Amino acid sequence: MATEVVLPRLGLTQEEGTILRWLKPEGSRVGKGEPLFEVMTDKATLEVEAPASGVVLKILVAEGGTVPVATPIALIGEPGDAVTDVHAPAPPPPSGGPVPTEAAGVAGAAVAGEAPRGRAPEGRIRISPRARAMAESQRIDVRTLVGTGPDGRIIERDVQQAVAARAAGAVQPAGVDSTAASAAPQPASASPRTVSAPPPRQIPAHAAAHMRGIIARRMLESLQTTAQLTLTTEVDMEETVRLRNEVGPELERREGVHVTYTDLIVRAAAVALREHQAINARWEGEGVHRLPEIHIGVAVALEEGLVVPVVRHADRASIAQISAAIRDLSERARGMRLRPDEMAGHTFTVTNLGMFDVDAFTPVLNLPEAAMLGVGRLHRRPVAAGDRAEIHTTMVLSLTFDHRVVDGAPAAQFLQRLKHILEHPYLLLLP
Amino acid sequence: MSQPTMPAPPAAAVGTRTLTYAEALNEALREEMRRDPRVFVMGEDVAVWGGGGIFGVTKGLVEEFGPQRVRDTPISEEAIAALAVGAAVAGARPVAEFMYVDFMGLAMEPIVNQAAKIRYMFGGKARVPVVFRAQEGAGRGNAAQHSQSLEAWFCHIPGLKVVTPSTPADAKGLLLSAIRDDNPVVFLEHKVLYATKGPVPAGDYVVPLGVARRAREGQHATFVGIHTMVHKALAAAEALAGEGIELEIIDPRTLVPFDLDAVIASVRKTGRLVVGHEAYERCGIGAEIIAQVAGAAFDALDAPPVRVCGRNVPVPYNARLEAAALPQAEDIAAAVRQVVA
Repeated sequence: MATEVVLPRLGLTQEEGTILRWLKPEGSRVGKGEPLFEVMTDKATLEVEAPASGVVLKILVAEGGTVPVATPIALIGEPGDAVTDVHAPAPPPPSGGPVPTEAAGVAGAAVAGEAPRGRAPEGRIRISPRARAMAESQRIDVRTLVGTGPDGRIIERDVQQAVAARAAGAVQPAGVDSTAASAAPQPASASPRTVSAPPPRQIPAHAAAHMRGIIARRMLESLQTTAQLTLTTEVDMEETVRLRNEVGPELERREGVHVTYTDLIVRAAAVALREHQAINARWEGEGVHRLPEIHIGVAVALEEGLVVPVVRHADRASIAQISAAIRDLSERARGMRLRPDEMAGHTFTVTNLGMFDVDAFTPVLNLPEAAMLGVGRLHRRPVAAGDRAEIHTTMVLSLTFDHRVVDGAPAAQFLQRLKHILEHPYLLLLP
Repeated sequence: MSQPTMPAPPAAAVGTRTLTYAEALNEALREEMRRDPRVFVMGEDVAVWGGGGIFGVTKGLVEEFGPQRVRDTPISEEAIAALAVGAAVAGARPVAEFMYVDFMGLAMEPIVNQAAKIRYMFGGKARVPVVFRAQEGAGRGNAAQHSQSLEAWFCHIPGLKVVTPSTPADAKGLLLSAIRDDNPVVFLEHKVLYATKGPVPAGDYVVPLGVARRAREGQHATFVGIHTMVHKALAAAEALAGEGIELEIIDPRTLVPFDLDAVIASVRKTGRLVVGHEAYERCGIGAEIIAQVAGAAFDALDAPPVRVCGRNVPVPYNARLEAAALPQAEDIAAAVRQVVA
């Protein structure tokens, strides 16, 4: 008899959750208590353990899918167990006949109530008793804290820090200066973002602390669990500048989009990724898993942190479509109005620090990706043209990659191809 | 032996001198024997040979009080303990000395089955006001059969009080309390501490049983230890202070009764607990202290408590190996760094 895995309720206010990652693919064996999937709730991203031992017979909700609490999302059992009749989120009423929606709701709630099946994270947070008691009295959600004690244990000082951060957030008025906020209005030459955006919404301090906690955990996990390193190359952007100057106004007039360099670089990366599939991959357990689709995350800096909304099927989108998508996503990101699924499923990420006069840097991989592109500033400088010096607009690209997934030469070839495309940007116009 | 009569009222404590731990114990015995004719001492070589026991604690007593009240005994720990229990039940207040705590295994029947049980089994009508004195501990190269710390044996038995002074003043004040207590008290001295000096109040200076002493104030971690560990912790605290870690040191002074309130008050402040004793770590009193703190003040703990104890091996006689088998100041410092990490 197969065991149904249901989406657990991990917080009092949680109504639904997004499956970010299945840690055990369909067909693999899992032990009770082993991490099975990663779910994003309204508050945090959490690993959930398998409620039973066996084989993952069927995954009912794919990565990126958002479903209500108590929805069956997978089946664990032994090969041969029946896997039918599992899509119904609630059991049929015993009397048969039409299902009243209210009854289905009650049945769904009952499943959630009786089942601490997937519920594990709450009991497994490493936290000292003193810190837990303090968090309770201060009404701090311990799941948002990052432990700095031995083995990552949350200890008193972590709670004190969260309390202090909350207090600081409460007394500071909105619009306190921060790099992202002050950077938002750009000089027209440096930034394409001249379109008026909705004003950034002030995020409550506890939400900011949540986000900080998630970022801290994921960044540390990235650096601690991968073999990442960074290659840089300089790109002559003369042709791309010309393309943007000539095609941009046309697109603005015809499609209503304002093309930015980021848009062009995302398009270039998507085209290059299509040709270099080894980069569009991830490390899964004991091997490399190449991903059939190309979804590019674009890092957006917020006052409180950083989010990475995703441009889906970027390789199949035109420059105008990419431009429109990125503008929509980044505007909603600044208002904290992104849906969880709009930040999931990325296979490659582009991050741009050029507006801050950064030349080159070492981006930290956005897990579970195998590579990430850092974009430096565009600037005019002397370059050798034959035996003469000419002033060209150049830019440095920084490619961080996971050496477990891809070796140096193929990573360098991808970067070289990217450079070639940007130096011959009419390639971007091909389908 | 003279007939017990009623004691004189205690004299007031006046002034303070510097005495050794052994001299302070001697003073307590002498003053209490002067005050209370029911008090007498007995043990191997306490009177004649060597002039007052191998560490001189009973030195000069036979000259002042005579062989009736300062009695040498045969080499039989069972006889010493059993005679003392009988004398106590009969109305005397004996102070029986065991040369090494290691030898008390031979005396366990009268101590555990008689002294600890009689008051209970006679419905409170019999009293056993006896003190069993012994010295324990290592650090003198006395080898495995003469270096143990066996306080946990006695702490385990309901009906026995267990006292472990770490300073000359406490040695005097606690011994007076032990002799005046109407219940059997196991009074454990430490052989390395006999020669240590400290201020001791003159006259009737009494330290009540069951009241801990804060040997150092700090706010980052709490150390609870007895005997030499108090002094090693003070040394460790100096080193830690240089790193910005202020260690609070609690000397419980008596293990039964135990001043849990004092320990918990400190742990509530610091959130971190290290316990230490020379006795073997396994089933030592440190485990009991940690269990009591965890039960009563779980939500005060910010790190798992750590024990700094003797290794679970016979104590070596070789000086280097002996030092390695014993908990040292550096071990305490390392444990404190661990809990404040």
